Amino acid sequence: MSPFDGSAGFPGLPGAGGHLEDTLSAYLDDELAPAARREAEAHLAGCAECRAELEEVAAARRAIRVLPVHSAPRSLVDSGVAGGAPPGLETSPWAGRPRRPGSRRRRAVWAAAAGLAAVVAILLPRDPEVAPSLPTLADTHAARASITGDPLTQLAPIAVPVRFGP
Amino acid sequence: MEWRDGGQRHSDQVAVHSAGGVLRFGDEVVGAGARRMVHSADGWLSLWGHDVTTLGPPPTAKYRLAVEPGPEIAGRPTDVVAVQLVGGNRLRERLYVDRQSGLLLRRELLDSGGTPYRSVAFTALTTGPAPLGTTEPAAAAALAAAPRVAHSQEPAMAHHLKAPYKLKGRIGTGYRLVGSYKAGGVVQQFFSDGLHGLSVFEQRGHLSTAETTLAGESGAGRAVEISGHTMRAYSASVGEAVVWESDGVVYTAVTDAPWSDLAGAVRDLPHADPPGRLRRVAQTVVSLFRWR
Repeated sequence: MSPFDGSAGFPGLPGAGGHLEDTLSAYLDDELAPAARREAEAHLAGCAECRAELEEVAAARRAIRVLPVHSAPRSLVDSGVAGGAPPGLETSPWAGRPRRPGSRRRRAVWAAAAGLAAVVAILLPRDPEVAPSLPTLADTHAARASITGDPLTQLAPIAVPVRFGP
Repeated sequence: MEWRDGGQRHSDQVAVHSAGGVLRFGDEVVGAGARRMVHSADGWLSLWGHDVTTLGPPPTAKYRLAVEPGPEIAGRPTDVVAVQLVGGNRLRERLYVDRQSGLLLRRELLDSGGTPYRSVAFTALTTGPAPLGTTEPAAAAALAAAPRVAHSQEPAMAHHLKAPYKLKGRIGTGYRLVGSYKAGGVVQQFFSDGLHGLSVFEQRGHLSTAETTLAGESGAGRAVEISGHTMRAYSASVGEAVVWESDGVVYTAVTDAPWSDLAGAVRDLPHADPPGRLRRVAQTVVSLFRWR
């Protein structure tokens, strides 16, 4: 069993080229088992190439740590970074809240539809304008009224031609 | 006939001929059986063409009628029917009926002082085999023939109306729905109190800012306020009319009854203020997202 087994599952030491290679990152992250760590330190003590590489990896990490930290995009959070954000990555204030999938897109669709409806409502012509023809309507009324069976006035309603005064 | 409009008195003379069951009122109106025709610029227009079986309520439901001997009208003895509201003490109307034939010879609507403000009457009556002013049988035959109808605007019965139209069973003081009809996009609800008719015409749309069409007649009407809403009212030879708009429907109520009856009926009909532009936009947007 490799001394690296049981830690982060790294391949055996040294690598195919006889150097620590990817094990350097685990060493810097303090993820190696104690025996593997001692073995790595022994190798580093006798290998100038691996020490140089270790120094490069450590420098790169320092450079990354001084970069400004930004919130993760909400879409990234919504799309499911399960288990929370990685170490050093500030989580969005939206994270942790229950969000319905696609709600942002739905809101955008509704907003667009409402805007379109408003434009249509403004541009659509009004209901037709109506100018009632009183003589015609009066005649229509009189025609109906004259056959209603009114026992007294009989044809009186339609007997009178429509005239408006003065 | 005579009528009063805003204190001004008007009168008109119309020759009435009757032969073979056809009645002609001047050159404008013909009644033949249940058919009613009016003469228009495009020829004779048929406004009605079928009998109706639904009658209005009996006049005695609203009115108290008293018959007494009347004066001679057009040289013929009459009985006069005095009309009062049940429970009222003011004479509202007088009907003068030919004692021999039962023909209505004069009708008077009376104001609060008892003075006629609208009346229609025969001034002269001639009966005999030949029509008035003619002696030739050909002329009599021509009068007896109903004119050829060029256009028809006869309404169809409308038992059910879709929104925004609503059927009202009763409106005003004693006016009962007798029938509802539809013709040319216009809905007509006809009401009767047994003595007078009242029609409510409904047309979808907005009331034109232009003057209501009076077919060349002058008369801009007058502004009246009913139930807090301003409407346009018109007085005509046939009666009273009022026009208004409510919720996208233009209403025109026409009646041969007194103005007070018309105003009372209008109070029972919709009369909302027309919506503003913002409200119409909001209504349209909301309607687009409403599921039915």
